[in-house]
Amino acid sequence: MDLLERYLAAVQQELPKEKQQDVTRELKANILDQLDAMQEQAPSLTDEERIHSVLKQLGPPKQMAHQFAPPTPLIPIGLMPLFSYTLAMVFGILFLIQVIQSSLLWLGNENLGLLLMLKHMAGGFVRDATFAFSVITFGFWVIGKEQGSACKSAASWDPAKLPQLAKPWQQIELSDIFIDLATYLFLLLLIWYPVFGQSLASAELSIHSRFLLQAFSPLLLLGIALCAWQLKQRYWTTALLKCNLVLNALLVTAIVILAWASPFYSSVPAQLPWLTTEQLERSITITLLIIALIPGWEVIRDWRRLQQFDN
Amino acid sequence: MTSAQLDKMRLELRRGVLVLAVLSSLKAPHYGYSLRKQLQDAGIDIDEGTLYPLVRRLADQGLLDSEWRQGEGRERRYYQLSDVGADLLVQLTQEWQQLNTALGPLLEH
Repeated sequence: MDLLERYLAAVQQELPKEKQQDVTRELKANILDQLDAMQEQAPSLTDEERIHSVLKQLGPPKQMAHQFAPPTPLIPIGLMPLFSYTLAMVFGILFLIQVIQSSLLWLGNENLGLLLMLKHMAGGFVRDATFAFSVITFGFWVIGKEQGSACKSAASWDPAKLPQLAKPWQQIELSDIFIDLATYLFLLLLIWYPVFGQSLASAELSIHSRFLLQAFSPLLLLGIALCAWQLKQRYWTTALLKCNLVLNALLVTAIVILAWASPFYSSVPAQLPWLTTEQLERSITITLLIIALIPGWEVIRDWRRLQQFDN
Repeated sequence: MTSAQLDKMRLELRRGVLVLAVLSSLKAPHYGYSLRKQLQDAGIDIDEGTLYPLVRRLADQGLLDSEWRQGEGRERRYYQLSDVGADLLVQLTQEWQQLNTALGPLLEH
């Protein structure tokens, strides 16, 4: 009998308090009935052997307890899509904030290298994301407790408002939007930081190239606006594709103009003493031309996608 | 098809049918073991670890009434179909019969 009492105690431990007494009382009665039946079927077995056999059939205490009181998920299944979306949005915003904070720190601190800046950014993001995850999960747990998994929007949805997604590439990944946003914000900070802060990285830029960079910054603002549009409407339409194509074409033009806006630097930066002025200018030109290939590729891609729409 | 897949599908197929079988068996009062015996005698084998919690869940939903009784020197919890459970059983039986009628010709092909 000791084995039976141990089993019941183990099951009881896994049950919610309000069910513990009732369930174990009933379970004990059922097991005793089974033991009686087994005694008739297999009289040669000892009591211990019978109990062992019946408990083995019933399964582990935890499994048995979960059958009586199935564990409720932290977040109801109906709220999971909203939970995942909220997490993705918040993580994206936290990533942007970290990019801004770390860029400002990097631009204002001579001793902070690029790797240290990236480490600072990753560390800050992990810290903030962990906190946000805990808060959001707790919030959804509370909502789930209060309203269950009722989906209020189910009754009000209109099939006519379904997006026209004929091509698989029309869906826009949230991560792509946030990466674009982070890039635009970082470049804006890089260009405008010398105006309101003491930037060491751009101290040797020529007046000519600095003017050009600042003149091109409306393109970056346009890029941010386009990202906001993409966040609102998470799929490519003809209008969005055309805007993206124009933006990327303008970016290619701006980068190419910048590549030939010699001299880019008024003098060779102190951090690069082994370079001559000509070598530096040529390196910048080549680098900028390589960078221009990225929006250039997007121009071609969007052009081909627009043609697919026409067909 | 692997044996694990077959087991999973059998489990899914049996889940709803077991509710119907249990509700139907509880037109007369039964305690856990006697219910299992009745089902077994009718050709429906169900292990205790599934049956006892299932009966409790149906009782929690108000489909079964229950009471503790003393018998053969031991207390037992007896379950019987409640009024709500009886109404539901009628509807489920109709549903089952419709399904069965529709499935029959399909399975013969």
